[in-house]
Amino acid sequence: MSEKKGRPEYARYEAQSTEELQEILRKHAHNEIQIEMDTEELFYIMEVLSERNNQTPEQIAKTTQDAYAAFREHYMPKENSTAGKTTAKVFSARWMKVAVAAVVALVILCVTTASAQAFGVDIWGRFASWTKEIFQFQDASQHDQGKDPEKENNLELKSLQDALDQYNITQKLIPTYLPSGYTFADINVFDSPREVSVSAKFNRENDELIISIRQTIGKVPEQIEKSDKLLEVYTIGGVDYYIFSNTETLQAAWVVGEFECQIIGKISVEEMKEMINSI
Amino acid sequence: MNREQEKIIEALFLDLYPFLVKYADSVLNNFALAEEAVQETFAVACRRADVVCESENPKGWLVETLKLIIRNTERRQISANKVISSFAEYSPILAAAPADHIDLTALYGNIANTKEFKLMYAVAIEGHPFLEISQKEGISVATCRKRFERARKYLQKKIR
Repeated sequence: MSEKKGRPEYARYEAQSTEELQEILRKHAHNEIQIEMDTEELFYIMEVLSERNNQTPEQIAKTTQDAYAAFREHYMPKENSTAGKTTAKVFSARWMKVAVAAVVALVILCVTTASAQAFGVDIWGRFASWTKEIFQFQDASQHDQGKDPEKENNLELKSLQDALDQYNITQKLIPTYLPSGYTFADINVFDSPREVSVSAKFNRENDELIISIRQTIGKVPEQIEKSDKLLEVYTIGGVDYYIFSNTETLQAAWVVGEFECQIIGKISVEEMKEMINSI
Repeated sequence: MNREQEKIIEALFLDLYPFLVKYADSVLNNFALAEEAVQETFAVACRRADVVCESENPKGWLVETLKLIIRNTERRQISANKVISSFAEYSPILAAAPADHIDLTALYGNIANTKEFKLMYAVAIEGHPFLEISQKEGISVATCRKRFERARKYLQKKIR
C-alpha cells in the first residue's frame, strides 16, 4: 500500500520530525485533534513513520507475514469446525461425569424412596407437584408468544452487542430476550481513560427500559441504591442478580468480572427473570 | 465469516498491519503492546466481518476500532499499575534501584510471591503483551486474559 503516491498536499509531513508525527497520531487516538482528519492523511503519516525504520520492503513483508501467521494462530476467532472437535472431547468427558452422577443419584433415590415410603411419606407426589410448578412458569402459551418477537428483539439488541464488540468485550453480558412491545430507541457510549459504559434505551409507549454495561476497571463496583427494595437475589450460572423495585420500576444489578451491569425498566419480575435467563 | 470475507480481511491485514502498528506504537510507546492492539483490532474485524467488508471505508473502520482497543489497553495498564502500586511500601532506595535489580518481595511484601501478582506485574510494570506471557506459560491468549482478570480481582480484594 502507498498513500504517498499522488498526494502532494500531505508532503508537508515529510519535513516533520518523528516525534511531531507521533504526537499527531497520539492526539488523534485521544480525540484531541479538533480538525477532522482524512483516513488517507492518517495513513500517509503512518507510512512516513514506517519508512523511517530503514527496513527494506522485503523485511516489512516478512514481518507482516509472520504477524499474520501469529494472528491466525492466536487471535483469529476460531471457526466452528475447530470448535466442534474441542466440544466433542469436552462432551465425552462431561458425558462420563454425567453418567456416573446419574447412576449415583439413582441409587440414592431408590434407597431414600424406600425409606420414605416406609415412614408413610409420598415422596413421588411432592416431586411431581414441584416439577409442575416449574413447568407452569414457562408454559406453552408463554413460550409461543416469546418465540418470534425474540428473534426480532435480537435484532434490536444487536446494536448494544455491536457496541461491546467494538471494544473487544467478548463476555456474555446482554440479554437476548426483550419483553414484548419494547423497541430500540437509542444507544449511548461513554468512553474515558478510566471507564467505558454502554447503555441502550428501549421504549414501549410511555414505558422505558434501559440496559447498561459499565467496565469498572480498577474500581470497586458501585453499591446498589439502598432506597430501592430488594425483592430477591436471583442466582443463575454462578452469578447473583439483585432484583430491586421501587414504586415505578424494577431493577436488576449484577457484576461479572470487571463489568457492572443493570437493567432498569417498567417490567414484571417474570419478564426481568426471562431477560436474565437469556444472557 | 465466510471465505470471501476472510480473504478481504487477510488482504487488509497484509496491506495495513505495519502502518497500524506505527499508529498504536505512537500512542502506547510499547511496540509489543502496539502489535497486540493491532492483532486484537483484526480479531474484532473478523467477528464483525459483515460490517467491515461492506464498509465504504474499511481502513477508517480499522483505525476507529484500533483507537478503542488502544484506549482499552491504556485503561488496563493504568488500573493494573494502580493495583500494583497500592502494595508498594515506600522506599527511596528500592525505588531508585535499576528495574532488573528490584527486590519485589522487599518492595511489595509477600504478595509479590503469588502468581497473581507476578502476572499483574508482568503486564502492568514490565509491559509484556498477553501473547508473550501465554507462550511462556504454555496457555492460550484467551486463557491468559482470563487469568489476568482473575488476578486483578484477587489483588483488588487483598487491597480492601
